[in-house]
Amino acid sequence: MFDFLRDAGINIILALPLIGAYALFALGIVVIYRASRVLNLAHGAIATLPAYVAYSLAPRIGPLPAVIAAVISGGAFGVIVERFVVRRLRAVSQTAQTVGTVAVFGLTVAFMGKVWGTSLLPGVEVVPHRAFRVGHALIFSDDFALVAVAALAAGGFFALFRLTNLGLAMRLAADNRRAAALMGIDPERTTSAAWLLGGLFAGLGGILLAGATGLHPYILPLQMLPAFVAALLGGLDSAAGAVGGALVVGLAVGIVPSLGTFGRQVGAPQLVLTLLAFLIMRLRGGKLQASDVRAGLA
Amino acid sequence: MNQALRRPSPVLGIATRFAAITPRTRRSLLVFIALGLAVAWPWILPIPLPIVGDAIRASEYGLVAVSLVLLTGWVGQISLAQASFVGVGAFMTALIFRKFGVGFPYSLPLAVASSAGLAVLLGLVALRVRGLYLAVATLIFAWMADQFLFSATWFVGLGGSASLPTNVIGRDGGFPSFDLHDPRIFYVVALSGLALGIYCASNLRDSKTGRAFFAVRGSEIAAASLGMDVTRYKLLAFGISGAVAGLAGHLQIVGDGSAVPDEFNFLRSLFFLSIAVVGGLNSLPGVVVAGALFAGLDEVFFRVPALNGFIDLVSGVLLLGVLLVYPSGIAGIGATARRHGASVARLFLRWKGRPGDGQGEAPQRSLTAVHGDDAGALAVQTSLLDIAESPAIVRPADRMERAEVLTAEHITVRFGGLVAVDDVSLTVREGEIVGLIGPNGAGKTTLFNAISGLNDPTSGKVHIFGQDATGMSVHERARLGVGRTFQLIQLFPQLNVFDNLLAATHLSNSTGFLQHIVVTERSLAAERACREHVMEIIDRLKLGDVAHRTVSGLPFGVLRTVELARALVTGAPFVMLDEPASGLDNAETEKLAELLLTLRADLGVTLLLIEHDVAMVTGVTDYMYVVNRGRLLAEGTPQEIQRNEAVIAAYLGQPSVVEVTA
Amino acid sequence: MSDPLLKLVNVDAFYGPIQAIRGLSLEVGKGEMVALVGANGAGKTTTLRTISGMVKPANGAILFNDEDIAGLPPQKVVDRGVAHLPEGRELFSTLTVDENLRAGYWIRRRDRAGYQEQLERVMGYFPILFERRKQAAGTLSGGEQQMLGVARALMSDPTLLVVDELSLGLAPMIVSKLFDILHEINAAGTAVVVVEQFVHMVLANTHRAYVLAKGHVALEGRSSELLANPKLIASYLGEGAAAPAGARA
Repeated sequence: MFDFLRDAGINIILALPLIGAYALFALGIVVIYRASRVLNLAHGAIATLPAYVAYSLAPRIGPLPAVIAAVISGGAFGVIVERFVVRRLRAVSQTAQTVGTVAVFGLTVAFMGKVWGTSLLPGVEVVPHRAFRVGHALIFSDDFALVAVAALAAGGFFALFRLTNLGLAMRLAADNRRAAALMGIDPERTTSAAWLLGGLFAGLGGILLAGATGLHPYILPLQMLPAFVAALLGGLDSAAGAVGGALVVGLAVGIVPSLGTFGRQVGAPQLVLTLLAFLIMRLRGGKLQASDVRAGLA
Repeated sequence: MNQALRRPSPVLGIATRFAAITPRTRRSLLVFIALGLAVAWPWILPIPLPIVGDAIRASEYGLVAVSLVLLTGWVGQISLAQASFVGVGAFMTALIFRKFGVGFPYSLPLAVASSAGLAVLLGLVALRVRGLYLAVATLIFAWMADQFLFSATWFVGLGGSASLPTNVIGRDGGFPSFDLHDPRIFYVVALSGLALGIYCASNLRDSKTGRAFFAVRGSEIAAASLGMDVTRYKLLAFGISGAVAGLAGHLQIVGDGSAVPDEFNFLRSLFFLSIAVVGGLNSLPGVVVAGALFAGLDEVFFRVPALNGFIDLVSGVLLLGVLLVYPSGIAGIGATARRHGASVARLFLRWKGRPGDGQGEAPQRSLTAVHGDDAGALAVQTSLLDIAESPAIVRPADRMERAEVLTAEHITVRFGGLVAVDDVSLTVREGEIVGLIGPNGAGKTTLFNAISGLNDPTSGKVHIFGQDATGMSVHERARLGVGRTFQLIQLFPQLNVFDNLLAATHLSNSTGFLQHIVVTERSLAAERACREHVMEIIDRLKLGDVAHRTVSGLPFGVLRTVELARALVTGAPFVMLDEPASGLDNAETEKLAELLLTLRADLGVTLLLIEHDVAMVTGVTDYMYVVNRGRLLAEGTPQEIQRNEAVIAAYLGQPSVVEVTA
Repeated sequence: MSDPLLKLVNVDAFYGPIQAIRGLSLEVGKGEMVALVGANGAGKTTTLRTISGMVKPANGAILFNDEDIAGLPPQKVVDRGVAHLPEGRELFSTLTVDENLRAGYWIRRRDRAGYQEQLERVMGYFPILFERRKQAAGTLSGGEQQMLGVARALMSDPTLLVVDELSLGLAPMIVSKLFDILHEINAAGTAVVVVEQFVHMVLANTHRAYVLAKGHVALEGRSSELLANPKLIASYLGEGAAAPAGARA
């Protein structure tokens, strides 16, 4: 029993950076969803490209300026995707918008693979690299940086939303787009702001994660997928839920491997998460509601 | 003088003779020639073997794209996991060989069945989610397959890759013997696979099953109201699509000799989706061309050093480009070319002094070759409309003596704490037109939906034609003989008017999807009978002019008539109309009222309608029920209702001083 | 009417594929209180939506202070002084009462000093809202929600207030109180257009009224006269409809 707890404890600590990363990504996903009602499947790509940008800029202008510039580029990327893909496809359907983001994902991944190659590159070192020993495992300062920055970012996020006019406008537009327009708020502008914010967070998370696990055009973006599960678990509509979901997902990835033979199989945590996600989605769906018919959704 | 004796040019002669053959024979001839060329060209021309390899890959791509056309294009179930099904087909083939020593082609059925089974599992999830959630679900599924299934050594084989020795079928030197090492021979195999896939898909498309697919995509609720079991068709689509994708995987590993999990990851699914979208998601010929295009690009980008590794980039650009700029894809180009080609042909013929050939319209999908003759028993059940058209049935004058068609007893519907409908009972009798009215928010829609099966009442019973229908789903009620129209028009946008109506013959056509794939005599005869039936309704409702037009772009009043026609085609003796006059102006409303009365007189159909336009309802109904605040306020003849004080108060409000509420 | 505040001229508008109003024309004078009644589906809500910019009319002109605002987006219309309280209120249900009122003030947000003053004035009409100011709007009762809707619309200090279905789901006493408040606002200079299905209270509380049926104006006139007009009932329930002899209309 004690062994299990100790193992689990270590796994949880090891999972902390992951939880931080997932929280950052999930927050971005939720902000974007609340504003556009679109699940941004390109989020992983929007997170990875800035990491490569930082990698290329760092030798020229130093690591910190490079990171700042790269994070901004992530925000810009988000705005561009919204403006030219998601907004254009709004007239077609919500599904078309989602497929559009998938297309952006594929295109970006291919682009990054072409420009920077497919071998693993080292991410930009934002925090000086130090190692600590916990039990028989090694924890790195980058990992802690990830968690710390994620916590700060989440805090800033909530502050923005509660205390500023822009944050109020975004919450109003997310709650009731039509009523917000009647108040004089331009929903297109708040939507762009949401994608900007989502892109900034994604870029930040991507850079930090790349620092911990390295840069790769396919592997790094696909690592974001659990973040979608985290957002789904949290209910897609709630920022706090996103953080909670990230906790669950990170813990699952951390703890499941110590749960016996099944747990130790490759991909077991992912299977567990998949089943969890499907369960949630099944619980949400239901028999066709009359309101769906009247709203023309059926 | 000389002009009359001028000899026609030989080219024109062939062209006119060609044009003179019936469309059906023309198409079969073209297909035959095309197929022949497609098989023979590696032998006729000195093609280098790698090109033949590309042709094999093109066939495989085309096959996966066909599976996507079926699932995503026709049934509207977006799949970001298609490569997973291909992978299952491939790895199962290797597994079967590893464990049981069974090779190609005997391992085909089990490999295909496994990928179909996995696809059905995904389909079970798809039943509950829609739209973007479905996309995410398939994404997560693909990810899980990647991480879990394709990493498991028991499935994939040791060393992370599976291999399969390439076969020789039959005995060496004897006949028939095929050496699959020769790409040209394997190309024939791959092409046959593609042809088989297209043949099955094409036959399905033009059948009752195909129409059900389009209906499910167009409007699930309308499909259910026509008697279609939406669940069954969705799962069927996943299964068939998975099977086709699995076939592609099976062929891939047999041809290549080995496979690695990386070939079937999520990015690969994106690649396949690109092919399907670029080809035009709904079009079989389009995606075949797209498959060839991408295989060709693969080769070109491999050969030209400067372009190495750009294939993913280009496919991404193409996908995004098609989505944003040219949504109909290659199929759209084909359609435009055909239209222009037809008008060019007409101009050419006219210039040469002969009249143009026909309408020059692009051939309609609905005018398929039906070989029918009267062979065999018809698979069409007699519809109740046939009975109604027999000599006039004498109906008892007294309302209470007529048979009950619908009885709703003590219906209560509660949503959480809110009571939307409170103990309402109503009866509709044979041959009646009954109206259900009430002010906004009165609960009449909720009641209507409880009767039609969209909502489950919290308590109370619904009897239809004497049977207890309370627990029945919408499509089960349709089987009992209930038809329905919708306030927000629920026609199927991908089908033209004729096919929308044809879809409504679903219940009278008892043939199944296997018969549709194989095109049995019985299914053809059933198809013909259904078409004749639809033509009758079209004539009756004077929809002949618009029958072959697509639904979008038709005027609103016409759409309402088409929806009504669709309900009549089902032959249902009881039709529920949801705000049929909504959106019609005064003249159109009058015409609708006349039409309803005529239909009742000629066809004997029983009607129940909800309406806000009380004036219209009073002019057309025999009996009315008024609900207010969830309760039954009044019932009676229109004249009685119009002078009922409580009803007037319900609509115009109480003329009292402010009441003190308890 | 000479120089009306609001004038609709021959407006056509659609609700999806359905044509909801056909060739509609009406006027509202400065400082007037006008009723728009009619059965459900007559086009009343769509009319208000074309005024506030939620729906773009297909044809016709909408003149507000002599400027044609037809087709302008809602943000620009509220900027010109029109506040719309929509059907169903459309509150921001997950945000607090306070935040909802702040939303109503959004169009004037640059005038930071004016906020407190306007807030106090509006709270003066609805003291109950002050008590509930930290509560989420979705947790209020039906009557309180309607009050919040009106209060929110008033925060922008509009020249014209259009209200859709004031009384829906509310007890008569609350509706009466709301009308009293609308009177006060009207007296202070704001023109008001009220859409209602139920005729009595709204006709008793307005100067003039229009009766809509099937997308156009079927009747119009002074509110007090319309109440006695038998065609009023007919426009709701059809030609044969009439109050039973001896009963009040």
